Amino acid sequence: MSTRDSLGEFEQIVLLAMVRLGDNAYGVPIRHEIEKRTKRTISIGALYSTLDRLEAKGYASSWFSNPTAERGGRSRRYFKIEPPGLKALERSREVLEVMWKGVKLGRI
Amino acid sequence: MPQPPFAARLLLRLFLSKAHNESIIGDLAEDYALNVLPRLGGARANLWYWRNALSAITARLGTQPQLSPDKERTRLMTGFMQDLRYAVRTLRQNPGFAATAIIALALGIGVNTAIFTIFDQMAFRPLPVKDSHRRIRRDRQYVRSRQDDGVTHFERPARKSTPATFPGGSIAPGKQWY
Repeated sequence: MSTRDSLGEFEQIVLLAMVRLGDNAYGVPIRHEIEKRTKRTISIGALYSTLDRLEAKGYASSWFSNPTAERGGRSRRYFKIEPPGLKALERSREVLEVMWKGVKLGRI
Repeated sequence: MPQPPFAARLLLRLFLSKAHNESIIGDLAEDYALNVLPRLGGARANLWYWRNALSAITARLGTQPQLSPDKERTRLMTGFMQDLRYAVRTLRQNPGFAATAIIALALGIGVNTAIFTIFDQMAFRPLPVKDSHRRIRRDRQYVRSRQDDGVTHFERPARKSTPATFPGGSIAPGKQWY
Protein backbone atom coordinates (compact mmCIF):
# COMPACT_ATOMS: atom_id res chain seq x y z
CA MET A 1 0.00 0.00 0.00
CA SER A 2 1.44 3.38 -1.00
CA THR A 3 1.32 6.43 1.28
CA ARG A 4 -0.92 8.19 -1.25
CA ASP A 5 -3.71 5.68 -0.60
CA SER A 6 -3.69 6.00 3.16
CA LEU A 7 -6.52 7.85 4.89
CA GLY A 8 -6.35 9.89 8.05
CA GLU A 9 -8.81 9.19 10.86
CA PHE A 10 -11.00 12.19 10.08
CA GLU A 11 -10.97 11.40 6.36
CA GLN A 12 -12.25 7.91 7.14
CA ILE A 13 -14.97 9.32 9.37
CA VAL A 14 -16.11 11.77 6.69
CA LEU A 15 -16.15 9.10 3.97
CA LEU A 16 -18.11 6.75 6.23
CA ALA A 17 -20.65 9.51 6.96
CA MET A 18 -21.06 9.96 3.20
CA VAL A 19 -21.67 6.24 2.77
CA ARG A 20 -24.25 6.25 5.59
CA LEU A 21 -26.13 9.28 4.25
CA GLY A 22 -26.23 8.13 0.61
CA ASP A 23 -28.06 10.67 -1.57
CA ASN A 24 -28.50 13.16 1.28
CA ALA A 25 -24.80 13.80 1.90
CA TYR A 26 -24.20 17.56 2.05
CA GLY A 27 -22.51 19.73 4.70
CA VAL A 28 -25.22 19.94 7.38
CA PRO A 29 -26.22 16.24 7.60
CA ILE A 30 -22.59 15.07 7.25
CA ARG A 31 -21.66 17.22 10.21
CA HIS A 32 -24.66 16.12 12.28
CA GLU A 33 -24.02 12.45 11.49
CA ILE A 34 -20.40 12.73 12.66
CA GLU A 35 -21.28 14.72 15.79
CA LYS A 36 -24.10 12.32 16.71
CA ARG A 37 -22.01 9.17 16.35
CA THR A 38 -18.59 10.32 17.58
CA LYS A 39 -19.88 12.77 20.26
CA ARG A 40 -17.32 15.24 18.95
CA THR A 41 -17.95 18.84 17.88
CA ILE A 42 -16.88 19.37 14.29
CA SER A 43 -15.98 22.81 12.97
CA ILE A 44 -17.29 23.60 9.52
CA GLY A 45 -13.84 24.79 8.46
CA ALA A 46 -12.25 21.41 9.27
CA LEU A 47 -15.09 19.55 7.55
CA TYR A 48 -14.83 21.46 4.27
CA SER A 49 -11.03 21.29 4.24
CA THR A 50 -11.34 17.50 4.44
CA LEU A 51 -14.12 17.32 1.84
CA ASP A 52 -12.05 19.40 -0.59
CA ARG A 53 -8.99 17.23 0.02
CA LEU A 54 -11.00 14.03 -0.57
CA GLU A 55 -12.36 15.49 -3.79
CA ALA A 56 -8.87 16.54 -4.93
CA LYS A 57 -7.62 12.99 -4.29
CA GLY A 58 -10.49 11.59 -6.38
CA TYR A 59 -12.10 9.81 -3.41
CA ALA A 60 -15.29 11.89 -3.59
CA SER A 61 -17.15 14.10 -6.04
CA SER A 62 -19.54 17.00 -5.50
CA TRP A 63 -22.25 18.94 -7.30
CA PHE A 64 -24.58 21.84 -6.51
CA SER A 65 -28.36 21.58 -6.15
CA ASN A 66 -30.90 24.29 -6.92
CA PRO A 67 -30.93 27.22 -4.44
CA THR A 68 -33.31 26.86 -1.49
CA ALA A 69 -35.06 29.45 0.69
CA GLU A 70 -33.94 28.06 4.07
CA ARG A 71 -30.33 28.58 2.97
CA GLY A 72 -30.87 32.24 2.08
CA GLY A 73 -31.13 31.44 -1.64
CA ARG A 74 -27.97 29.35 -1.77
CA SER A 75 -27.38 25.90 -3.23
CA ARG A 76 -26.47 22.73 -1.39
CA ARG A 77 -23.19 21.06 -2.29
CA TYR A 78 -23.86 17.33 -2.34
CA PHE A 79 -21.03 14.81 -1.99
CA LYS A 80 -20.72 11.25 -3.20
CA ILE A 81 -18.02 8.69 -2.49
CA GLU A 82 -16.24 7.44 -5.62
CA PRO A 83 -14.79 3.92 -6.26
CA PRO A 84 -11.20 4.95 -5.29
CA GLY A 85 -12.63 6.29 -2.01
CA LEU A 86 -14.45 3.01 -1.32
CA LYS A 87 -11.23 1.12 -2.05
CA ALA A 88 -9.20 3.38 0.25
CA LEU A 89 -11.77 2.91 3.05
CA GLU A 90 -11.63 -0.85 2.65
CA ARG A 91 -7.82 -0.80 2.79
CA SER A 92 -7.82 1.34 5.90
CA ARG A 93 -10.13 -1.10 7.64
CA GLU A 94 -7.95 -4.07 6.63
CA VAL A 95 -4.82 -2.36 7.95
CA LEU A 96 -6.47 -1.60 11.27
CA GLU A 97 -7.87 -5.11 11.61
CA VAL A 98 -4.45 -6.64 10.92
CA MET A 99 -2.83 -4.35 13.48
CA TRP A 100 -5.50 -5.01 16.12
CA LYS A 101 -5.44 -8.81 15.70
CA GLY A 102 -4.25 -10.45 18.91
CA VAL A 103 -3.69 -7.16 20.72
CA LYS A 104 -4.97 -6.87 24.28
CA LEU A 105 -4.51 -3.56 25.98
CA GLY A 106 -3.46 -3.63 29.60
CA ARG A 107 -4.97 -1.44 32.23
CA ILE A 108 -3.97 2.20 31.86
CA MET B 1 -36.52 33.75 8.27
CA PRO B 2 -34.10 34.62 11.14
CA GLN B 3 -30.82 36.05 9.93
CA PRO B 4 -27.40 35.17 11.41
CA PRO B 5 -25.10 38.06 12.52
CA PHE B 6 -24.59 40.49 9.65
CA ALA B 7 -20.89 41.18 10.32
CA ALA B 8 -20.01 37.47 10.41
CA ARG B 9 -21.79 36.88 7.09
CA LEU B 10 -19.99 39.87 5.61
CA LEU B 11 -16.62 38.46 6.72
CA LEU B 12 -17.45 35.07 5.21
CA ARG B 13 -18.45 36.64 1.90
CA LEU B 14 -15.24 38.65 1.89
CA PHE B 15 -12.87 35.79 2.64
CA LEU B 16 -14.41 32.74 0.97
CA SER B 17 -14.36 31.87 -2.72
CA LYS B 18 -17.66 31.84 -4.62
CA ALA B 19 -18.02 28.05 -4.45
CA HIS B 20 -17.41 28.06 -0.71
CA ASN B 21 -19.72 31.04 -0.28
CA GLU B 22 -22.53 28.88 -1.62
CA SER B 23 -21.83 25.77 0.40
CA ILE B 24 -20.44 27.06 3.71
CA ILE B 25 -22.63 30.16 4.16
CA GLY B 26 -25.62 28.12 2.97
CA ASP B 27 -24.88 25.30 5.43
CA LEU B 28 -24.42 27.74 8.30
CA ALA B 29 -27.63 29.62 7.42
CA GLU B 30 -29.64 26.38 7.24
CA ASP B 31 -28.20 24.95 10.45
CA TYR B 32 -28.61 28.29 12.26
CA ALA B 33 -32.27 28.75 11.30
CA LEU B 34 -33.51 25.16 11.59
CA ASN B 35 -31.45 23.66 14.43
CA VAL B 36 -29.20 26.00 16.40
CA LEU B 37 -31.50 29.00 16.95
CA PRO B 38 -34.49 26.95 18.21
CA ARG B 39 -32.21 24.89 20.47
CA LEU B 40 -29.86 27.56 21.90
CA GLY B 41 -31.70 30.88 21.55
CA GLY B 42 -30.51 34.17 20.06
CA ALA B 43 -27.28 35.07 21.88
CA ARG B 44 -25.78 31.57 22.03
CA ALA B 45 -26.83 30.84 18.46
CA ASN B 46 -25.05 34.00 17.33
CA LEU B 47 -21.95 32.91 19.25
CA TRP B 48 -22.15 29.51 17.52
CA TYR B 49 -22.37 31.26 14.15
CA TRP B 50 -19.36 33.48 14.88
CA ARG B 51 -17.26 30.51 16.05
CA ASN B 52 -18.06 28.57 12.87
CA ALA B 53 -17.55 31.56 10.61
CA LEU B 54 -14.10 32.20 12.08
CA SER B 55 -13.16 28.51 11.83
CA ALA B 56 -14.24 28.46 8.18
CA ILE B 57 -12.26 31.61 7.38
CA THR B 58 -9.16 30.33 9.20
CA ALA B 59 -9.34 27.00 7.38
CA ARG B 60 -9.94 28.62 3.98
CA LEU B 61 -7.15 31.21 4.30
CA GLY B 62 -4.48 28.53 4.05
CA THR B 63 -6.06 26.72 1.10
CA GLN B 64 -7.26 29.46 -1.28
CA PRO B 65 -5.85 28.85 -4.77
CA GLN B 66 -3.26 31.43 -5.89
CA LEU B 67 -4.70 33.70 -8.60
CA SER B 68 -2.82 36.04 -10.94
CA PRO B 69 -2.72 39.67 -9.68
CA ASP B 70 -5.28 40.77 -12.33
CA LYS B 71 -7.72 38.00 -11.46
CA GLU B 72 -7.19 38.60 -7.75
CA ARG B 73 -7.99 42.31 -8.19
CA THR B 74 -11.13 41.50 -10.18
CA ARG B 75 -12.23 38.98 -7.56
CA LEU B 76 -11.73 41.49 -4.75
CA MET B 77 -13.57 44.31 -6.58
CA THR B 78 -16.46 42.03 -7.55
CA GLY B 79 -16.71 40.84 -3.97
CA PHE B 80 -16.56 44.40 -2.65
CA MET B 81 -19.35 45.60 -4.97
CA GLN B 82 -21.50 42.60 -4.04
CA ASP B 83 -20.94 43.35 -0.36
CA LEU B 84 -21.79 47.01 -0.88
CA ARG B 85 -25.04 46.17 -2.66
CA TYR B 86 -25.87 43.63 0.03
CA ALA B 87 -25.20 46.18 2.80
CA VAL B 88 -27.40 48.84 1.14
CA ARG B 89 -30.20 46.31 0.61
CA THR B 90 -30.03 45.16 4.25
CA LEU B 91 -30.02 48.72 5.57
CA ARG B 92 -33.06 49.61 3.44
CA GLN B 93 -34.92 46.57 4.68
CA ASN B 94 -34.23 47.46 8.34
CA PRO B 95 -34.55 51.24 8.72
CA GLY B 96 -34.50 50.99 12.53
CA PHE B 97 -31.22 49.07 12.47
CA ALA B 98 -29.81 51.49 9.90
CA ALA B 99 -30.74 54.53 12.05
CA THR B 100 -29.20 52.96 15.16
CA ALA B 101 -26.00 52.10 13.31
CA ILE B 102 -25.70 55.58 11.77
CA ILE B 103 -26.36 57.36 15.11
CA ALA B 104 -23.84 55.11 16.89
CA LEU B 105 -21.22 55.79 14.24
CA ALA B 106 -21.91 59.56 14.25
CA LEU B 107 -21.66 59.75 18.05
CA GLY B 108 -18.50 57.64 18.12
CA ILE B 109 -16.76 59.71 15.44
CA GLY B 110 -17.93 63.02 16.96
CA VAL B 111 -16.79 62.23 20.50
CA ASN B 112 -13.44 60.94 19.26
CA THR B 113 -12.85 64.04 17.16
CA ALA B 114 -13.78 66.36 20.05
CA ILE B 115 -11.51 64.59 22.53
CA PHE B 116 -8.59 64.55 20.12
CA THR B 117 -9.05 68.24 19.26
CA ILE B 118 -8.96 69.24 22.95
CA PHE B 119 -5.97 67.00 23.66
CA ASP B 120 -4.16 68.32 20.58
CA GLN B 121 -4.65 71.95 21.68
CA MET B 122 -3.58 71.24 25.26
CA ALA B 123 -0.65 68.88 24.75
CA PHE B 124 0.83 69.34 21.29
CA ARG B 125 0.28 72.94 20.19
CA PRO B 126 2.08 76.01 21.69
CA LEU B 127 0.03 78.39 23.86
CA PRO B 128 -1.73 81.10 21.82
CA VAL B 129 0.36 83.96 23.30
CA LYS B 130 3.44 85.87 22.21
CA ASP B 131 6.77 84.10 22.97
CA SER B 132 4.99 81.15 24.50
CA HIS B 133 8.27 79.28 24.85
CA ARG B 134 9.41 81.89 27.45
CA ARG B 135 6.47 81.29 29.78
CA ILE B 136 7.29 79.72 33.12
CA ARG B 137 5.04 78.21 35.68
CA ARG B 138 4.87 79.72 39.14
CA ASP B 139 3.85 77.42 41.95
CA ARG B 140 3.42 77.85 45.65
CA GLN B 141 5.04 75.40 47.94
CA TYR B 142 3.96 74.77 51.51
CA VAL B 143 5.95 73.00 54.19
CA ARG B 144 4.56 71.03 57.06
CA SER B 145 5.56 72.03 60.59
CA ARG B 146 4.53 70.75 63.99
CA GLN B 147 3.94 73.41 66.61
CA ASP B 148 3.49 73.28 70.33
CA ASP B 149 -0.28 72.95 70.17
CA GLY B 150 0.15 69.46 68.68
CA VAL B 151 -1.60 70.41 65.44
CA THR B 152 0.16 70.02 62.10
CA HIS B 153 0.24 73.33 60.20
CA PHE B 154 0.91 73.98 56.57
CA GLU B 155 2.84 77.18 56.09
CA ARG B 156 4.22 79.17 53.25
CA PRO B 157 7.99 79.47 53.77
CA ALA B 158 9.80 82.77 53.62
CA ARG B 159 10.80 83.99 50.18
CA LYS B 160 14.39 82.93 49.52
CA SER B 161 15.21 85.27 46.73
CA THR B 162 13.48 87.18 44.03
CA PRO B 163 15.15 87.58 40.68
CA ALA B 164 14.87 90.94 39.01
CA THR B 165 14.75 89.36 35.62
CA PHE B 166 14.66 85.89 34.25
CA PRO B 167 17.89 85.40 32.39
CA GLY B 168 17.17 83.60 29.16
CA GLY B 169 13.60 83.10 30.28
CA SER B 170 14.41 79.87 32.03
CA ILE B 171 15.21 78.62 35.50
CA ALA B 172 18.05 76.24 36.21
CA PRO B 173 16.91 72.78 37.30
CA GLY B 174 16.70 72.38 41.04
CA LYS B 175 16.45 76.11 41.75
CA GLN B 176 13.27 77.11 43.53
CA TRP B 177 11.40 80.37 43.27
CA TYR B 178 8.66 81.35 45.63
